[in-house]
Amino acid sequence: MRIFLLALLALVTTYETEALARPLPFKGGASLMGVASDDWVESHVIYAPWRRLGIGAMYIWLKEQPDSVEQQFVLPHLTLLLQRWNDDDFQANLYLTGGLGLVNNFNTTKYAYVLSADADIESRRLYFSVLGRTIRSPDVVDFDLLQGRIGIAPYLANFAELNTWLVLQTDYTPNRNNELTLTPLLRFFYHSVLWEMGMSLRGSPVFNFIVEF
Amino acid sequence: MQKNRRSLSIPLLILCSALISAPVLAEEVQVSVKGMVCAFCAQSLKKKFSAEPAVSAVDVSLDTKLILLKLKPEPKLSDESITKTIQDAGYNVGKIKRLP
Repeated sequence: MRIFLLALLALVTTYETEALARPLPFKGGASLMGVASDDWVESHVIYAPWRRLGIGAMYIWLKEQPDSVEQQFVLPHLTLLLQRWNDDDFQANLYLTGGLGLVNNFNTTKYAYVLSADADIESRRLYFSVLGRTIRSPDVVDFDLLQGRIGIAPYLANFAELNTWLVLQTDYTPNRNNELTLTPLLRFFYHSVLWEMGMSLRGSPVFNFIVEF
Repeated sequence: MQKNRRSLSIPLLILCSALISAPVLAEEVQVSVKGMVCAFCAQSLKKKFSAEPAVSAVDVSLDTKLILLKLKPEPKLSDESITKTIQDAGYNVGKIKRLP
C-alpha cells in the first residue's frame, strides 16, 4: 500500500524532478524523489533557491525487523553542494545534508536529526556513487546507512532516446541487520520519466519512480 | 539604350521588392558544455533555454556535447546570459560560437 501511495504521489506531483544520484536540482528548480521497498519507503522534496543550496524535507517509513513497530520520520533539511567538477566526459559531485525533525515510534513523537554525505562521479557509460547517512533520536533510534552504487550503460543513448542502465547497489546498515545487502537494479529514463526496479538478493523488491513535469 | 534600361528596370524592381520583404535570418548559437553526460539531468538545460524569450528552438546533443540555440531576431541573447543559464543548470561553458 505504501509503495502504491508513493508511486501515486510521484505521479501527481507538479514539481520537476531529478535523478536519484543528484540530491540537488538546478537553481530555481524543485525535485521530488522516492524510494520504496517492502520495509523502507522514503520520499524527498527539495527546492534550490541557489545553485549550491537546497531546502527540503524527507519522509521515511521503516520497519526495523519483521513484526516490530513501524517508525516514521519527517525531517526538514538543507542540502549543500560542496563541490562539483565538470569535465568534457564526466561530472563529479560532493554533497552534504543536515536536518532536524521528528520521529514517531511506539505512538510517541520525539525529535530526530539526519546527517549525510553523498559523492558521485558519472560519465555517459559508467557511474559510481556512495552515500553515508546517520539518523538519530536519543533513546529511540540509531540508524546508520552506508550505500554504494555502480552503474553501467550497455549502450550510449542520446538526449531524446531511452536510456538504460544496469546498476548494482550495496547497502550496509550496522544498526539493523549488520549485514551487506546487494540489490541489482535496472534503471530506465526517457525524456522526463525515470524508473528503477530490482530485487535484493534477500528477495526484497525495490521500485523507484520519478517524473519530471 | 532606352529599351535596355526599361528591360532591366523591371527585374531590378522585382529584386528590390524581394530583398525588402525577405525575412531576417534567425541567428544560431552553438555552445559546448562541460559536464553534460546525463540526458535526464540535461532536461533542465532544454527547459531553461526553451523558457528564454529570445530562443525559438533548442537542440541538445550528448554525442557532440553541444547545445544549438536558434534565436529570434528580437530580443537579443548575450553570451553572458547563455553562460549564466548553463551555470545555473549546474554545468560549465566550453565555447560559444555564433553561426552565420
